[in-house]
Amino acid sequence: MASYILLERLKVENANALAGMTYGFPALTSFLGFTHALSRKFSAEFGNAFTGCAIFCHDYELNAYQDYYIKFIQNRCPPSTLKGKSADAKSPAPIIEEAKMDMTISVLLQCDKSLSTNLDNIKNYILRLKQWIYSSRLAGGSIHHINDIKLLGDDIKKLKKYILPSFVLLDASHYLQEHEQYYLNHHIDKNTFDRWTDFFAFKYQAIQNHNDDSDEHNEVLWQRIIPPNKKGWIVPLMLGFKGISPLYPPEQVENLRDHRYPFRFVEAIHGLGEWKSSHRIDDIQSLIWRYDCRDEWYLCRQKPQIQQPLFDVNQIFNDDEEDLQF
Amino acid sequence: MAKVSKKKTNGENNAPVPSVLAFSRKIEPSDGLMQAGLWNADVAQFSKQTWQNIELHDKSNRGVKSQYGVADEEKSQPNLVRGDDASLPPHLDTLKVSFTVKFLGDIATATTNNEPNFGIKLTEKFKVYQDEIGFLPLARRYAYNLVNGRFLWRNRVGAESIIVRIYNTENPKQEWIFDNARTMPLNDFEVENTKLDELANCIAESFKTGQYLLLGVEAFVKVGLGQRVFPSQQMREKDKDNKSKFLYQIKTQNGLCAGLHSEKIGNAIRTIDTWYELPKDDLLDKSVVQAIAIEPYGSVPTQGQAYRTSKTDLYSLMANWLSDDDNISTEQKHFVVANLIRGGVFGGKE
Repeated sequence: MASYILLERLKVENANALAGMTYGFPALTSFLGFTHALSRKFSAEFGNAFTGCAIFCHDYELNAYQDYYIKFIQNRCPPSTLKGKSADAKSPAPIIEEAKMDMTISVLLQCDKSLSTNLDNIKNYILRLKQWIYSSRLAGGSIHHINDIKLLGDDIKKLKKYILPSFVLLDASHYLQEHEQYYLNHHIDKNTFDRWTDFFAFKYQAIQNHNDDSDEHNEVLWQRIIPPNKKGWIVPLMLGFKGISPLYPPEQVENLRDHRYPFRFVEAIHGLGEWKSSHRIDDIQSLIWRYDCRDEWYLCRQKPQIQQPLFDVNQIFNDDEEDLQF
Repeated sequence: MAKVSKKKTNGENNAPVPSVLAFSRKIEPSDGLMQAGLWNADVAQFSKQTWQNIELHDKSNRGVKSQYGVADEEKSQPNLVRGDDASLPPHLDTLKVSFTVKFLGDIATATTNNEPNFGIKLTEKFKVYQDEIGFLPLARRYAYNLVNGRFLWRNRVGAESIIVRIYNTENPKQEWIFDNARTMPLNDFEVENTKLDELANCIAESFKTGQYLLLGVEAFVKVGLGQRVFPSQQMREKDKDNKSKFLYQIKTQNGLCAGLHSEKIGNAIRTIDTWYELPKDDLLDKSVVQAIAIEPYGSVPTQGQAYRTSKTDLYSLMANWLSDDDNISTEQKHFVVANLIRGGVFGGKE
């Protein structure tokens, strides 16, 4: 029984490469948004909705260059609206800072119920999906090629046949929790932000040398801080948003984009992600990202059953932890 | 904190367009790949040869300083420049530029719009445009820019001959070959050509039905053995070694390859605006109106000109069209619709 749809090797051009305070891959929210948009069209036509998606990356190219630190390559487009005088239309086009990337990805959509196995229906699914995919954007980038669309069951071998070689994006926020525990057990004082950057930042620390043989008791050694994850490709990842204001009715806020929905100010939530080579996965279920919205949290999670404490932005830089219970 | 907004009535907002308004583009070109090969009068032979990637190379020059305002003592000094350069290998004479371009429908639907009434009005007027005029006039102009090789930009200049092959990626039977692209005039869109009409019909159809059309475009340009080619330039600062010019390259399966930005190709495809009024003090020959790219203000930054600044800009025309008088000409309607196809953020007031 097929309950997954694989969108194989989408080539996306000029996708947004910034997410929260991270760069290098579009935000998770844009993939789930893409899934959601397809789901609405698909369920209206065929009655199946998509509950989540898995993300595989085959290849990517960041439009950036490194000169001491990363800078993004910019482009100039004449503005279509001018705030000042119309004389501005004659001046050189402004540079609006943007971070763009090209990528080749596969997206595995999970359906809420089994799809039809009738050949005509399958043909129809694929035809319609192709139409919707080509007319939508992914993370702001345009999709100009899709290799194929396949319907799959739970068979992981079959999936691997189509997606290798690639890396799959996993939620690794539990590492942060373990790391947290380690510091608590050893009574080391370090704020959450620093503990988070331990995973991907290049850090050194000074160690006092207590070697009795030497005369110099005050000799200082510099030592590299080994990241807590000995293995794995761990990256900072934006996981969603947290509301930082009450939920306003639309008529209470000025300059809204859309007056039909209530409004709330939010900030980005960061956790950890892991890129794992797809040949090492053994369970499709555990790869699927879903929305997880509760109270003021708007999150994308892979395993909602694992309860992890979340930290308030305001608490990150001071050290009195309190676990936020759901 | 959120400000409590005063409820606006529609009469109060004097901007011709909503304060939040955006359209997504309906013509999506991909980046253009630039490869090298050998010329052949028979197009079928082109597909049989292997095209090799054009790789960028560094070029260092010892030039002179000749810009205006150089101090006297510097006029005799050399000017060292380092930058990227691209050219055909000495034994090859033909440049191949290939890209895909996607045409989408659903033109008058805004992606964001905070005034539903505006949307309803636009849809009404657009429906009338679609029924009375149709998309063929616009589609024909877009198609013509593919056919005449305008998207080649400087690579078109001085080429001996150009063959353009356009095919429908979903339907291999649909293929159009134009072997006289070099001789087609760039500013006369009224050229008669049955193949062009056929292609224009396909594009108009996708605008109308919303069924995507994904065209593959290949241009073969005979520029001469070892001649220079012109990829897009990247906007970035000098690097540590004082290299100041960087050209665009695309990652392919067999290494890096010089390329044209998709924005640059898109700009060439939408260079169809010949409906603007020339400024009165313009000394140019008025008999030929130069086509400019579709922009709300008719901006051509390279000329320091904006040809549509008052009364003929997108916003004035849109307001006139949506008002009850409906007093704009068919050509100006083309211009407004072409702007919707171009897409962008058209918000009215801050």
